[in-house]
Amino acid sequence: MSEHQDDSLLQDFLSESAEHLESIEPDLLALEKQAPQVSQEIVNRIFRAIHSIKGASGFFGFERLKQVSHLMESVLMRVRDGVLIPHPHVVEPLLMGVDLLNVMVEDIYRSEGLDTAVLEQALTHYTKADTPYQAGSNAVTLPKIDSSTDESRANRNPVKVDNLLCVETDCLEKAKRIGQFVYVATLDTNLHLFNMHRSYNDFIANIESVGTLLASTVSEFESDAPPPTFNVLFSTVLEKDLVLHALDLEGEQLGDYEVPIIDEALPATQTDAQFYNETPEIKVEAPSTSTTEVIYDTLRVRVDLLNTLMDFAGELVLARNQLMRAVQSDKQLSTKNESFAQVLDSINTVTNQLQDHIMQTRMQPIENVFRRFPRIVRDLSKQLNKKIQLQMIGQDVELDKSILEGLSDPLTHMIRNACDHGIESPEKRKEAGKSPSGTITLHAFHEAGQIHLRIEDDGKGIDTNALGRKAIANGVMSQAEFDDLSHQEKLNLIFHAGLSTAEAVTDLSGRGVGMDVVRSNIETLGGHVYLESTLGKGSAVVLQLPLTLAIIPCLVVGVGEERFAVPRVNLLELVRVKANEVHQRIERIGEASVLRLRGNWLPLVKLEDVLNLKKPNEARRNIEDTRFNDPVAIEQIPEIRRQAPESDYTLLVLSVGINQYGLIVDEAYDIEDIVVKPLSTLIKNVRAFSGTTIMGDGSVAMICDVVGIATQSELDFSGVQTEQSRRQELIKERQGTTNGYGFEFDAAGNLLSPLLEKQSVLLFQNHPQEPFAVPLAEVLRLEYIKAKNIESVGTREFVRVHNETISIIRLEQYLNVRTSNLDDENGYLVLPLAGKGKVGIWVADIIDSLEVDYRLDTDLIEEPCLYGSALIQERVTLLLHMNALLKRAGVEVSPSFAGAF
Amino acid sequence: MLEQKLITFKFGGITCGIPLLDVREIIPQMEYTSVPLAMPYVQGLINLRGQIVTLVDLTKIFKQSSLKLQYGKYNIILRNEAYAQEGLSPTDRTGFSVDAIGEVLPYFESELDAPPANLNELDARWIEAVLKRPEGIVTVLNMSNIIKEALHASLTIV
Repeated sequence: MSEHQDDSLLQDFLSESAEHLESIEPDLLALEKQAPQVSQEIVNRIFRAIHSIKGASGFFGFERLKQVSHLMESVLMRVRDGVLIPHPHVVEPLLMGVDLLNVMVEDIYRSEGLDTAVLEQALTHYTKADTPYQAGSNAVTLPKIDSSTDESRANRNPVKVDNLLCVETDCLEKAKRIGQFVYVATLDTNLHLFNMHRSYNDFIANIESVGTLLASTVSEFESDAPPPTFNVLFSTVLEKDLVLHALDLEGEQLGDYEVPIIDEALPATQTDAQFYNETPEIKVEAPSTSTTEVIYDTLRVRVDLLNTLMDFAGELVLARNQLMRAVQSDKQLSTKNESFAQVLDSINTVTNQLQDHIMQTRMQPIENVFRRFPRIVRDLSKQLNKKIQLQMIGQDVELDKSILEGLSDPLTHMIRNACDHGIESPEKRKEAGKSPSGTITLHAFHEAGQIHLRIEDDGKGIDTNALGRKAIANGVMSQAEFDDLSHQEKLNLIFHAGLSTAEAVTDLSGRGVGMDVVRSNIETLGGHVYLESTLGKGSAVVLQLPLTLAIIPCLVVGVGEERFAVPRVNLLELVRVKANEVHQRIERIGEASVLRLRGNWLPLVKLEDVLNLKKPNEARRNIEDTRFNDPVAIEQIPEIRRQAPESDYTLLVLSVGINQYGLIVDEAYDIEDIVVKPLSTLIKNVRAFSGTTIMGDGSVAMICDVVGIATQSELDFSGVQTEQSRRQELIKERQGTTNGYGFEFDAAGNLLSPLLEKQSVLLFQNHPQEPFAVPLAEVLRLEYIKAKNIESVGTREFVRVHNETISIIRLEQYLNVRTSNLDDENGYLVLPLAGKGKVGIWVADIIDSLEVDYRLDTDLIEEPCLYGSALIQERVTLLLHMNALLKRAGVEVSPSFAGAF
Repeated sequence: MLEQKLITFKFGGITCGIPLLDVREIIPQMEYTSVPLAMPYVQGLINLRGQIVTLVDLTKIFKQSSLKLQYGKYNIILRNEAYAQEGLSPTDRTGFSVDAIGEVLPYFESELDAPPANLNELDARWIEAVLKRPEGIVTVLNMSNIIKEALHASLTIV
């Protein structure tokens, strides 16, 4: 055998062994759970897996490996025979054995040097016949089940199996019942014993190591010199090929032995499953899904081959896109030749399907990661003296291999967290009125094109106040700042490095490095982490993950001639700031530009600045036209200029963890699914990019790293946040000085800054040239009245509505404005809130009530009863200072409605 | 002694050569996408049938203002395997632009001369040897050093 072949065989052995070991662990745990009942199916499955490891390790000459697996096999054999009950103290060394085997298989060449003495001792303890089970506190005495080898108690019904073989029926019966196969081996002494340098006794010992000898044509005293040919009947759990391998035999020497119908209740052709249900002695849970599961043929494929396939599929998609584009632009081509269009269609379809399926080859069930958690939870609950159950839902949800690999550490961490910090001790749980055993639920499911993973526990929940104390003690924030946080924001403190609520640091967790790492890990995978928690009830961590990293939806943006892709997962919204609003909505705090967006300050970054893209010819772009601020001049600027889209700001609101920032780009195009290609080593150092991709037209575009850009531009979110809270404080202080329009004034009554939030205003007019606006919030109601109903007493006018007398204010009496047409027969009364329904302002016409944002201009019109003017619906509108007007009109204004002055 | 082959090309007016076996392919110059913030050695990225190739700017490496790419008509794409020792991973497809492609030039190792000190403007680090031929002198580039230099420069985090 050539070295290379040997090597590849070894590799196969190692990867198979690793797979076997992976499957053994959950089976062992299941076995432990079911104790004292024993599912033969599970035992046999474990047995077979261990045995194939043992067999192959013998073949490769790994003695340690063979020794450990042999001992495990022996223990399992006794479990299978019902002599040993798989209590935790029996399963423990087996699990340790699995761990050890795992270590050995991982580094096979050093496996020989491992010290396995302790484990071997522990295992040997259970292989000895005189220790059917350890007399432990929780060991249950079970009637000893006869071993089929026990000749002295042999049944009285010998059956002739073969001309020469005699066997007791109950041996066969027993063998069949515990799910063993019965084989007859026909051997030639010279060929199969002496030529292979083994004696008859060696051969029988060999059989005994994998199963039970039932009968042999060689009698005991003949064993030193067996006849030229002989037959052996034996039972084992191993499948035929494994038996052949174990006994070093050829196929034709081994025959299946059909167990004859011995008893009506036990037809030999029964399947194991039926059999178990009818077996009175050993009660076994109905076999789980394994009998109904469809098993597909599988084939091992190298990952790099799959990756190459992926690349080609991606390429094909691009080529297809280009082809489609070319054909679409050439109408003649597609209309003239119908069959051509059909071919194109089928290429399109096939490409899509091909891509889908190739993507699927990289998908793996999340079970591959979940698999290890039962063991972790089991071990932790022992270590922590807690009772914890693990529930797993949705193990078949599939994820891209690369994501799955990145998921394993964060998930393990969170499971540990839940065990250690989440679930309380049984005593504490009882005190809290919960069941003593806690439950951790791992739930994977699809939602909105993403994978959601929920790790939930019914433990004590996160104590936000404890977090707060920690945060304050560590100087992360002040008490006042903490009090201002919402519940969610308080919870999010757990993502802060260095904060942990655990009172004591254990070796499991509590050091406070963890959740921040979890979050950064998940974010590297393009996912998000959310927390939910109710104190006393439990908490849940929700992970949102993309299905794959290889193809992600991105927003394509343009800066100058260049195009960049921004991952959609980071994109919260797109905002367009019109050129004439730029200077109203975008402010400067220190060095940074910020955008006011629904009450939040959004730090702004220009992509062209971050990336150092020079655009010499565009120096004037995005420069505000000052004329826009002049309501009169603005009328003279042609409409087209004001609306010119290229002077608008296009802003991407991006999320970086809990922070957000705005990225200014020239153009936002479409959201496209793009194929991610890794960065070459030569450009890996550029933090602003996370990858490259090929666009539909075949050109290369860079994929922006949203976090990298924030770092690159040295965005300091803390500064922005501090400023934001400072301003909020200011606004709070000046609560009395802000008014319904949302303008800010300082103590002296000077306008500070127009707060450009959406305002609901009532628009009305007396004269068609003079629209007025008043905040809707200051209006109590409107009354439609007829002019003839107005009564006058001296200079004052009144009207009776619903038996109430309302005094009328006419704007022209107090303001330098045009009068309404006195001939008007009808009009409206605007009843201000501050007037408590006793006064109304006469208006000729109500124009509208609408939500607008506008900018206050105080310079244009100065009137005591007006705040100023603003451009609303393209008209210069006068903003009425309601309280000043009422005061002037001699109306008593209740203090709570005291205006700004 | 084995006969070896160089591929020769024109770069900024001088004739250069690199071992033929180090070349994966030669393609007409493609439109490239420049990478903002990358080190100056990176000229840009091209899409070579779905594979992204990083073009290294030789002018920048040579740091010779007199030696400039004149036409930039072809891209020579290197075989990554040939530069694995320098640290180029199999996925880091790398190439560079040249003015014109010359010929495949057979030579024997014994024909190579050490570069004379005053040969041309190039730093000795970038020259492996010179090959004298009736048609002129072929400067054999030390691509290994060039790749090393580029990779070294890419370690600085931007």
